[in-house]
Amino acid sequence: MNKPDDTDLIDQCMSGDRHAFEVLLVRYQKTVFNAAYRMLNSSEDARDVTQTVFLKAFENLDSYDPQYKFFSWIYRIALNESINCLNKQNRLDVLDQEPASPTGGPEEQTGNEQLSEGIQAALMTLKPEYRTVIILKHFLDCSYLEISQVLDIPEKKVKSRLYSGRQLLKDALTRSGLH
Amino acid sequence: MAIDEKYIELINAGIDGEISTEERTELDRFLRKSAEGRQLQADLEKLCGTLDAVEDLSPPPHLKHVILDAVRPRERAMESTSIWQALFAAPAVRYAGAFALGVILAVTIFSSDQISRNAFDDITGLVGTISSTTAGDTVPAGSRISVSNSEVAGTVKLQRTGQIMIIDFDLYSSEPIEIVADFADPDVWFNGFAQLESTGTSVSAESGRVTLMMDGKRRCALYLHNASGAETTVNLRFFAAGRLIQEEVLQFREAD
Repeated sequence: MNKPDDTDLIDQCMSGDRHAFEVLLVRYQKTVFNAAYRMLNSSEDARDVTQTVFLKAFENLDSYDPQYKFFSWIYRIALNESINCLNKQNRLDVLDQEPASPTGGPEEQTGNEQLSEGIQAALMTLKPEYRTVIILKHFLDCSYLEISQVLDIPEKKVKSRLYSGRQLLKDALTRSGLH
Repeated sequence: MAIDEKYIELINAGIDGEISTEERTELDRFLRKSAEGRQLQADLEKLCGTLDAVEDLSPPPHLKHVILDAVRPRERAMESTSIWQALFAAPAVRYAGAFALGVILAVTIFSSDQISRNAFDDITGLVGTISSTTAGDTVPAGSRISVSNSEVAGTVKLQRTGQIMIIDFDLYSSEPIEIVADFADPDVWFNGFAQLESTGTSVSAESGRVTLMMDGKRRCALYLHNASGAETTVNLRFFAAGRLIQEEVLQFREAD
């Protein structure tokens, strides 16, 4: 049986079908959580943001514009909420000075955990405008067009931010010996 | 020699699979001639390969339930016909109402040996404070802990208002959990308990200790009176089937 598409599920949500919302939640909670985590570098904050994103989405389904894909809308809420969270915690000022560092020694971590934490530390050295495009491209698998819709910026700007972001990320990873 | 912007763009677009046939031909022609271009392409491919090798993290197992429990069915909101239903549809009022009820419930379900020793403050003014400690609020370091294990997950935050310390539990458990809050400071005593949109958490208090029993999703708050307002700590222990599964310390700091 075909999986119901997002538009059908949203229609069902709007008419009060809670199960339809659960299907959307299951479909997108992992990506939303990962996007928030990559933006915030905190599982706790990512959990709170994910919760807020879905509650806001559910409460504001009436304002969803079906000409855009549902995930574009929900990713935009997720990134905005993450940036709000960063602003609230005044982390923006210290990000460049204090990049996150891995929490455990190499002997305590598997190769992938080490890689993940190294990349996360490098990501946190990027300004949010670069971090968002890297996350959308590499962690959420969005195309240039989709990124431009999520961030509401022209594709040309998506490309320039992505290329600059990659260069900065490569430099950070080289400094940490991961590239 | 620096690579022309146009070819940097083509190299990136090629790696991302967002390149036309004509552009691909042009890029290949450039790369045949430019060692620097080939080096950049190799570096970027390696970077993208590294990024793609990172595995997704799994959200906490209880997150889905926490979100679903927090969502109010749309049809219920639409069916609200009475003034009470309309009134309680407003979140702030709903929280306040739940808290008022929670406070009343608390009086009926806790047992305490400190009632005769320390008078209870009127905490009705604090009704609804749980709603102000939602996601994103800044909580001082040491005043918020994360609970994350297979039996119970969520957060516990400690906030203050005047001489009252509010310990806000936002937890989801997969089995009955006992939470023991110990406070050695003789100037601290149990002042009340409230729970939001749920019942069934039992509370018992004695000098220097409050014990909660919970099961499932629970949003509740414990009110402790701190007579001196001085810095103090609350030791929290979480038990599942009598086994200690997590121990944390919440710090209460003096007001600035």
